[in-house]
Amino acid sequence: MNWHAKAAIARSCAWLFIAFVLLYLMLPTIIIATASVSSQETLAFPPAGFSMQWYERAISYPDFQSAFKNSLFISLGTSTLATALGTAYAYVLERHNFPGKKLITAALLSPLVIPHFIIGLAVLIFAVQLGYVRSFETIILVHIMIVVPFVVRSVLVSLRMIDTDVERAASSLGATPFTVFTHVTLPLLAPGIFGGWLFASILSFTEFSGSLFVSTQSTQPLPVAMFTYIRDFADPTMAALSTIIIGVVAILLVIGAKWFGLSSIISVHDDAH
Amino acid sequence: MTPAVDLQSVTKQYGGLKAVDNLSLRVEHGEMLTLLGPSGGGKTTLLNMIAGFAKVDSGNVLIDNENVKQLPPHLRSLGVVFQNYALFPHMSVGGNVAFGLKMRKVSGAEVKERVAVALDLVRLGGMEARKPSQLSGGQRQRVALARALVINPAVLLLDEPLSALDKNLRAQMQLELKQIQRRIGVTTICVTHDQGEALSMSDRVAVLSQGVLQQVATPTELYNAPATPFVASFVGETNRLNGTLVGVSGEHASVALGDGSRVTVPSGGISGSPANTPVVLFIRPEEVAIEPSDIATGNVVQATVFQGAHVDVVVDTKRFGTLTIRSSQRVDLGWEEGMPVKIDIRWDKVHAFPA
Repeated sequence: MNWHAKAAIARSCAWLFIAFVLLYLMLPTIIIATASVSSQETLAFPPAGFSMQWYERAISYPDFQSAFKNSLFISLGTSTLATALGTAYAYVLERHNFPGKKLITAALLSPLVIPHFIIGLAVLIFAVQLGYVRSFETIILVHIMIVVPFVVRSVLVSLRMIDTDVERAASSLGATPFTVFTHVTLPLLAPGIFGGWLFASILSFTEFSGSLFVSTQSTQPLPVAMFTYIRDFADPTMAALSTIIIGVVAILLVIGAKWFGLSSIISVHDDAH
Repeated sequence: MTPAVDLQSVTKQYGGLKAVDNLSLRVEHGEMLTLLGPSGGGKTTLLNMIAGFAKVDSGNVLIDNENVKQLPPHLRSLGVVFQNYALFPHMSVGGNVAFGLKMRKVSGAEVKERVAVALDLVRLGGMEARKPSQLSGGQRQRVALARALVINPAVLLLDEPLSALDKNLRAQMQLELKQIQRRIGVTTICVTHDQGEALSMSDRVAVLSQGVLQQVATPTELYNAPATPFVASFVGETNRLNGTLVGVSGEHASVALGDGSRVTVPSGGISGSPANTPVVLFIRPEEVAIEPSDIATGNVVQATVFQGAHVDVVVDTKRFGTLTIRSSQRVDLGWEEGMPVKIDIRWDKVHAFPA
């Protein structure tokens, strides 16, 4: 066998392997999406028949409707507050040196290594002391802790890409430090800030374990409502709702990656530089 | 007349290291002064202190007789052109140039007019709407220059302004920069590590090494009468010979070389030194005559470097070690490796310093 043939076989094997890994990673999505169009009463794979009735039920089910509104409110509140906090934090971390900076950075990123339900539990215990039991504020508080590290990372990446000489140029032209920030730094940071905001919204919207302990029937976000539903019913409604969520999030991520440099926080390599 | 920029005993330390050490320098109105030195020599630190980007540890920085040591950059009214241009990527060319005027609350109509004039000056008239990303390196450089000049700065600061351009463009921009500077007469301080750039563009050159000012002089003076061994070896090419001082009499000094022979050189940098001081002699490649020889001379051609208009001949000499000698003889006359040559050092052109 000649060298070219060997290379061709090796290349085919590599592609086959990549296809398998992709299939493996996509498996939950594929199963859920297929099961959601089943005409049967129970959640099963492979499905029997075809029907869109579960999508109809998912959209019209009152618990899901109120939970969707809760989730939207929580996720908007979380992402907006976390973006303000994370941007300020990233700016201080990147542009200033002070004693204990490493410690503070570690503390800030620690929610990444703490299981989310433990954060929920801890905040619940704390909230009981303050009399703020299981309100929206409590859920948002938990979510902010979970998403802030991602916002910081997104803004940090954008900050590091700004040539500080550009800011110096602005100040040499007569711009006060505040004007430099509003006219130069902030516009250049905008993609990173928006990317962080979008990512924070998605993370908050799909967060389950962090919300479990701190939510009630009236404040529960969508993932918790879905969990409650699946404990009581075994029909494909859950699969239909999941498919909708996966689709919407995927579209948002593609938009984010394409226009707002979101890839820098979710992918390993950073093709912007 | 007061100088445009007056640096008085300026010192800057980073950690324990003195980046700029007790440096005093006056820049006259309308002149173009270049800070030349190797990287790490302190020239960029000095520029940053003038611009206000770096704090002055001790000493004073006076601009038009006003001490600006405590003033933040935005109150100093200086034009700065950065190495990588530092254009605002989110603004158009017009927006970039107009920025400084808007900060000064200049009226809209006047901004428009002055931006157009500034862009004409750098031969980019009518390019207001372009984005910096649509421009070539040379064009970005011009926008950066227009942006710095439009505010009529007291002093124009250029930080390695041409280093990011390719060689042909650099030579062209050197000329253009010099012409623009002459035309508007703005006091200019330029930082560079490129001695060719420094010698060709400047009215005066200040050579810095390890934070210490070595010499401030016109390009010609710098080349023909270096004040320190550092300047002699850093500016232009040179050969270095070691010897021992025998004695000084007036303008002349007698120096014993390694092989025991004695030569007479201008006393210059060693006029105050006692006998037996080790000295170092610098002789430029063009101050040594070279011609082919039919018989063995002890001097043999080791290598030749073709430079276009001239040839650098590296000669292995019995008496002085390896010397680089510049020959303007036509190449086809031929300097071949291994051929014996006669050399003649113009000892009166030597620059001598204590070693």
